[in-house]
Amino acid sequence: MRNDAESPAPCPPEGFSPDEQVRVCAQADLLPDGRFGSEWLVIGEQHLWVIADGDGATPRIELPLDELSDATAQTLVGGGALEVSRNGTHIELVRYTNARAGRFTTVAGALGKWLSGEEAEVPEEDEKRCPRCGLPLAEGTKVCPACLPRSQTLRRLALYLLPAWRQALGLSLIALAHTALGLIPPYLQKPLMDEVLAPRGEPRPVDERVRLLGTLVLALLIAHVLMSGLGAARAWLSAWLGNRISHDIRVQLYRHLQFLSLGFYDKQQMGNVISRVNQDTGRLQEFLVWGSQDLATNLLLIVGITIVLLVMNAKLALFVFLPAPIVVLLSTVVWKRVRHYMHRFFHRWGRLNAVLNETLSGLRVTKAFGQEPRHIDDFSSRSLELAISGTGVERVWSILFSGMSLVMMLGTLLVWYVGGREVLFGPMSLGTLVAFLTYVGMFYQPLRFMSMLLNWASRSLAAGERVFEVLDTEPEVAEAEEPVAMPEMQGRVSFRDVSFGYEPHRPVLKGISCEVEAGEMIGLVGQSGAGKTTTINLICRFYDTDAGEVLIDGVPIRDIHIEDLRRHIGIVPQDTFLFSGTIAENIAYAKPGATREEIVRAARIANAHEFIVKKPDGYETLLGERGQGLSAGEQQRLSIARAVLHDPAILILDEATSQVDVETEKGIQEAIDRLVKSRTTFAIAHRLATLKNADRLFVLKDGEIAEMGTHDELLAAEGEFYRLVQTYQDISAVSAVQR
Amino acid sequence: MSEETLPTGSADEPGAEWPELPPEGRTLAPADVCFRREDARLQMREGEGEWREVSVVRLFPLSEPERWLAVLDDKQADIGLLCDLEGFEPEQRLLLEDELRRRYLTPVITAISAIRHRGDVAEWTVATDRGETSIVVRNVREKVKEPLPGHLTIEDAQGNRYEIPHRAALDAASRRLLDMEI
Repeated sequence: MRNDAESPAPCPPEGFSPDEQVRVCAQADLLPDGRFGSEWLVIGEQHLWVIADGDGATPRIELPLDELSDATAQTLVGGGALEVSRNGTHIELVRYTNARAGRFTTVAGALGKWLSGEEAEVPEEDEKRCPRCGLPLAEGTKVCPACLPRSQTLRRLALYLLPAWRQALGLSLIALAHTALGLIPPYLQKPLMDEVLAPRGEPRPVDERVRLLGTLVLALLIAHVLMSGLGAARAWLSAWLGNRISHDIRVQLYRHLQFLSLGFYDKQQMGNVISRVNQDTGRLQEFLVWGSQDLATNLLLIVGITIVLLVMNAKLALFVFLPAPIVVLLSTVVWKRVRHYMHRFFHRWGRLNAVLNETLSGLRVTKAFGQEPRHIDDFSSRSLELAISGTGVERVWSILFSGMSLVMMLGTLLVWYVGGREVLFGPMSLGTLVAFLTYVGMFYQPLRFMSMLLNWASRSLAAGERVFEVLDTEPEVAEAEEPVAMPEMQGRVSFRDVSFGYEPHRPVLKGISCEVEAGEMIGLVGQSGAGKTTTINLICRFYDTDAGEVLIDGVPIRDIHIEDLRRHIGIVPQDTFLFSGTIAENIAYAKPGATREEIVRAARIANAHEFIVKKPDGYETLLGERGQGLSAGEQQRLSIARAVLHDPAILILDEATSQVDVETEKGIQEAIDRLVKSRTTFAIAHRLATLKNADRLFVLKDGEIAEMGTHDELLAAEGEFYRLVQTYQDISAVSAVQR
Repeated sequence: MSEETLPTGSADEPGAEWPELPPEGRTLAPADVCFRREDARLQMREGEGEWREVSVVRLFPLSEPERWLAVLDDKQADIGLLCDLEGFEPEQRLLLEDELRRRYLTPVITAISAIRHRGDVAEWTVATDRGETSIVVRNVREKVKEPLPGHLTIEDAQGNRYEIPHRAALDAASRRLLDMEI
């Protein structure tokens, strides 16, 4: 068995007591042969040991640190291995699964530093498991869904009722009255039988009976009118309430998603996030609108009828309750199966939708390769699967319903027989029996829905939990407690020994330091993965640094009022993102109140004006989703116009000319040259010629600044930049020939 | 690069209408290469050439775990292809199989003894080729995938992957548990 955190094992393990100070201890979850099991890596001041489970006295490996070098965490498929070198040979210390990979990567980093004589700290292990039940927690949350008490979720949902407490109270009263009223008509059947239609013993005079008949029917009429009215009011009010609550939750969730850091979206799949907004709030709404009132009234009905039955005839009531456990049991068991079939049905439905979406979006490719028949076959077989599982759902449903009706009918028949004997030989009146039978019918009805409703309720609560899980996630990039307002910004940017990684144990930037003067244009060059985009992400404060500081005009970026920071930073991203709307709206995206004059001027500066005027609708040309209808170069120019209008102190160009041909690039380059004047600019470009006008170039390599200087200086130095230029020239020569 | 001097390709080379392959895409014949283990690393030499550190990866890890293996050098650059482990000397073959077992830490589930639900997560108690364990799966419907017909992969909450290569080959009880789940 793998060691679950339910009982965290002591580290270092018992029985192992080294003579020196232990610097770090980490538990691995695989044995050397790859089987599950525990081993411990213990690193002291002079030695390291690997200790097998239950054998603390004799370590499996003992190595003196001064003979070792190079600690690496090898990434394997599904896990990894920690290795060190000794006289040029590699020694595998421990193996572990992905569950422990983060920890061992950190340990390997620290060990590597210790071996080369540097200082290093190994942070305490993050608690990634729920302290109560030991289940692993989802990335980025501290709430364990399994341990979260349901009552807490209910309480939180109830809090949303507070603003509308009057309506909620009214709804409860109406539901109560409606249910209570529902119990009256059958009760009136009793005098109708016993006093009017089939009286026992000495009958009353006929005219009195007729009067009574009229009164009773009138009473029934009033009861039914009231019930209809209350029923309508109840449905309307609960729909109002449910929709209002789910609206509040949905908007709150969306607002929270807008303010969550990019780090959250790196860890979550976008589809998951979207389904939380869509499905989970939808499911909550459905339940809040319909399920909750069904559940409440059914419960009330069951309790009410039970009392009435017991009062009317306790002995007969027992015969009614006899099949009740069977009904509940049966519906619980069958419901499980139904749920399983339904899940499968909806899952297949979702898959069919996914196939439909994908294949139709890729229709160009399908047609180009003539693969239509394959997609038709695929679709048809999935559709058939759906049909089969749909039939399965119905089959189970029908069996469930017929079976339950039968069981319930047995109960009713039992009452007929026993009650009938009571009427024939005992003191019971016909009216009592008829009323009783009506109640019995009303009693079983809610009973068979109870287990389904309870299930519905629990699924909705789970949906609520998922929503709250997101709401409870704190944005990682948060406003400082006392933010520094910056109405004006010069644009002086400093990096002081900045380290950062998207996953803390995998640094992308390693101790970057640089000073950029206001108005300077900096070109960032380097291979992909060198850390160019990451540098930019830190200037924009999409992420916070792990170590070191980024300062703007001498103020740490963490302390700057986020709104001010974003107002003074403009970005022309690699992937232009245009929202659906008109061209003018898209240009004015960062400045919604911009005048027409400003918009046209921005478009002119961005060299976008000329293509816009050719469109029949000019600046009011509607763009589809993601800028449909424009070429890549046109989109990029709009994106530049957007940045022009934003008029930032710090401008960031992330591969702004990557997707266009040489001719278009010239136009864009002109636009950029106009844009960068008098602003601090950071530009990333793979085409190094784009950066000719840069004041200085920073050459990044493996997360460090390898070289810094002007274009000519760097060329003269014949270093990393020179090498990049050489490669680039080779490639351009080739592409020139091909063209 | 020294590849030009080495034998390029074997009978497996595709037909003449294909464009010529770069030298890195060679097929390594069992007779031409020799493997050995040095400490924690696998080494290979071609003919009487230098020993160099290599790693062996599966190109089709799901459907062809023992065939279509790529040999990479210590910079992860492609050296060549091993089409099949058949044809290697038993001792060489063991060495390669061992290396694959070392690299692919994806346990194969042989039996499922229980699936417990706690809120949104499912806890599976399973027997695997690496021993018994319990795996915690969040969002089962998305984390259990069927990349090939009848071949399931399960990703647990900690990013580990488990495999069920032949769903139909599980015992009846395991199959029933699995059927209720997906």
